[in-house]
Amino acid sequence: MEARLEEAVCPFCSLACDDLHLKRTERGGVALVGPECPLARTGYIEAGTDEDLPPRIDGQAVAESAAIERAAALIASSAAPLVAGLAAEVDGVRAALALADACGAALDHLRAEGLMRLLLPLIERGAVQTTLSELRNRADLVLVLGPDPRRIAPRLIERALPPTGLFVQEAAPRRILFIGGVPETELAPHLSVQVIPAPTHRLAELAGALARLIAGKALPRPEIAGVPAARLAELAQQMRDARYGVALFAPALLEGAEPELAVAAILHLIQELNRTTRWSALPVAGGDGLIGASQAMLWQSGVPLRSRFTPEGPRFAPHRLAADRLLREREADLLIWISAFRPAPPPEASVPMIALAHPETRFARPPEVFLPVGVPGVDHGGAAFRMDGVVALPLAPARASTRKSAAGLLAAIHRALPMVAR
Amino acid sequence: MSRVLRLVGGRVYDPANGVDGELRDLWIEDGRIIADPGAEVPKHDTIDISGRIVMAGAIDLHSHIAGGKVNLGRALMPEDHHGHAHGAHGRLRSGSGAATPSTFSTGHRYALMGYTAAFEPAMVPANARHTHLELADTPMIDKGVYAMLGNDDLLFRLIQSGAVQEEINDYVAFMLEATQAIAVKTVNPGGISAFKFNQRKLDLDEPNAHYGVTPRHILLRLARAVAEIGLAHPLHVHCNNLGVPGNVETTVKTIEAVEGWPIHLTHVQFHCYGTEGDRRFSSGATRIVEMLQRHSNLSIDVGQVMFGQTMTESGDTMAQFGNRVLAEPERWLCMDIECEAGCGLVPFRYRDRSFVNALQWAIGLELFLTAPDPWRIFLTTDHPNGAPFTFYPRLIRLLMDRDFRAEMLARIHPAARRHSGLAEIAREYTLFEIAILTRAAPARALGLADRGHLGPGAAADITVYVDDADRERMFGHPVLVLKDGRVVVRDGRIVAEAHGATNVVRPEHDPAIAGRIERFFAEHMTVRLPHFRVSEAEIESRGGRIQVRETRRRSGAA
Repeated sequence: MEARLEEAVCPFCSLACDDLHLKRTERGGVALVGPECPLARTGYIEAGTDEDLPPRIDGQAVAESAAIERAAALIASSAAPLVAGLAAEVDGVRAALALADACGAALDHLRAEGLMRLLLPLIERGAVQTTLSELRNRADLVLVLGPDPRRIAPRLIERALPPTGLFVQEAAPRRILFIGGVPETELAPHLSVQVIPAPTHRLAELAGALARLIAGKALPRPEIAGVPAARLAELAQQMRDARYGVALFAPALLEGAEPELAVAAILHLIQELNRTTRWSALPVAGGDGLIGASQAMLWQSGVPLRSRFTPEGPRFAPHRLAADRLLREREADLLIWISAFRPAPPPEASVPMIALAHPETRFARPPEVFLPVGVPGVDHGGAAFRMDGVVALPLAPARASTRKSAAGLLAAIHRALPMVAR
Repeated sequence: MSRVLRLVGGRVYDPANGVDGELRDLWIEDGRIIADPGAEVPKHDTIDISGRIVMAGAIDLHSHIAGGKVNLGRALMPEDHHGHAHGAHGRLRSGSGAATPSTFSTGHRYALMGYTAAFEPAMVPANARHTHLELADTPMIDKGVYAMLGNDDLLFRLIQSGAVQEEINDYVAFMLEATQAIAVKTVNPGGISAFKFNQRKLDLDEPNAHYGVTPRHILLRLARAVAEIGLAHPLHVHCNNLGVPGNVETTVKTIEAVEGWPIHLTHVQFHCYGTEGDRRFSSGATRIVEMLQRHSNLSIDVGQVMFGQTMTESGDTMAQFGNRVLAEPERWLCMDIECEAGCGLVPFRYRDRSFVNALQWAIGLELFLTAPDPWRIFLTTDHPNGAPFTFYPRLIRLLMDRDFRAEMLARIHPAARRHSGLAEIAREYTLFEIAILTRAAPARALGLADRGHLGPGAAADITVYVDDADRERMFGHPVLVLKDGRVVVRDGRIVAEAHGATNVVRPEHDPAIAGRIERFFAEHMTVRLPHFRVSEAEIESRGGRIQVRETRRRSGAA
């Protein structure tokens, strides 16, 4: 695939901005020219040079074929392999799932915790959701609940809330309200911003109170989580009066003992608002290929991440199959760590490790097998899902590179895997 | 040259070639059927299928098998997957799900039922790359997708700006190519958009609150565009007012609204309700059958309801938001999508002891059993909306076996039995007619010239059944299935995994339309047009194969 430096698609968060201008630097490096974004800037810097790095066995450089053979042998002799990290573009994930299915592995993603906070309430009650282009063109009122989601998707508001949209005119500018969080970086002057101070860890109560008000019921106390009832009533009225409201929140950033209760309360509030007007939720999740991994897992196996390929078929067990727990409780005897976008540190593990990871990854001890992989959208192409789960964009390489894709290396390991009796 | 294969002694049902149960051998070479070589018999392998029934591989022209809403359905119903999981077997991947099966399971189950093609009928254009990714992981069958148009702000703005029909045609052709689709579907035309403006219902002549455009106008423009750019398949229409008692009037008016241009009405069962009787809910099947008799430009598929748990997945957010009160288990999801469309998911359990569900079941069967022309009616359950596609063998038995039908009818809600004319219908479908409904007719309707039949030149997609009086057992367990000449299923087991083609069309159009669409994307969308488009190379890089189907451009009134 031909390398692209203009209108490049950014692989480093789930906004998947496709307007990047890149440039080549010395020794095959790639740098962001603009538009500015801290995650993109760091991501391209970390991708480093195009130097071809050798695979390693126990820290010693080896031929690729030897590393692949060793990886296949480790997998073949494992009784309970765990594929974790799973930070790859969609084709890398597809290859990882094929391998996991062949060896009966459990699967987790390094950002699955935030995904589970969304998924479990979703299974309980459902949701009303929307996508980025709807937000951009319809939203006249945006409610941001909890910490500023731009920590996960820095250009979210810049990209999705310009001064006008198809149905948003300058004469009636859109309003953006923060509750339980504050804008952490500057917002464009065209946005009418209000902040309702409230404790971040009490969003479940606040969203519940708003739902009561929307349903026409009175609040039981003069204040909820420190916010006066009258202020909440005013907010509820604003929400009812919106033509098309959108609730933005980042499940992974929510605080408190049970963040999924806050997510459940928000999803319920948005569903209730739709009795009379239109509101949607847009959960801001992703990064490290999370959304694509979640989607591919669902279509290939029928079940979400944090599942295991058992002899009886894929089994979903969101609490039991968290990678940290499996490693801590020694319910996994082999860690297959995949992290292609950035040098994410692998979890502490006393079991053997096969790492298909970013070349800059730092390990506490040398993994049994380390196959450095290229960065998707820098060294090779692929596909990347956006946070809304609807739009997948094509990734193109930004340089001519001999670094291997996770997809290719995983397929090679899979081919080398002797057919093991399951 | 590859070796010739001969299937000996089968009883062949091949309606496209007028063959009705004749004993004849089939000769296969390089994945295709060849003419009987006569006296000069080449070296060949033989499979003896004496006494067996032979048909072309079956084709499902409306089945929600891939893409965003299907995957949301999987996420929303872990119960459907926990109870229906299977492990990997040799090189065959594991999977799970009854109503919303995973992709590998979908392909495997279709093949095990003798189906060799299925079409995803509701792809939101913005979701095209995702949909094709899922289809890349759907083995065994040929596939294709219908692009959902008619609720997108791009089309509304074209219409509002006074676009002539030629421009609409160019836009439709462009969207088909950009999303690698084979046909055009419109879902609740105008209604999904109207719901975004907080309209809660939309009749055929009711204007969109923002644009002032009516469903009638959209239908006419799109039906004409599809015909003029020369697609084999007419505009595939999910009418306004899905599920609403009395909606048969909307359906009848929809047929008339397209002014003679070809039209396919999908899952008509859900659009076939009257308001007669003490419960204000009755069958409109006779009205639809009348329309089929009067309008040769009309075809339908049924969307048969079968009893049990399923998940309903539709682009029709307006209808699904209304249906949320019927959710079982109690959860529902609606989503507005990219200024193009939307989707709504509501889990559903159809019960034979529910008056409404039982009458829905009976209405579907009335449509099948009284339709005048088997070439213009197709066998679907609108998988998974009426039932999972794995219910097809039972549905075929209901059509072929009057006693079985009577037995089932005796079990349903008594008032539904009284409200339906089903008990009086004696018709039993023949094998020849079943072969039309499930093979010959859908192949013709989609322009798949080399599929759905067994004449020389046809692809050797072949299904062989035991002639079993229990038609459910017979159609559920073919003894032999060939895909492109290769044996893929034998005695109820997958013996080889095939990978089918992705069927697409490439209608001619003025490339100038791309500039206009590119500007719309750059100014309003959050993706640029080059990244919206799905290339052939992407599909091929994932092991896919593109099969371009013929289009015949035409112009002027019908």
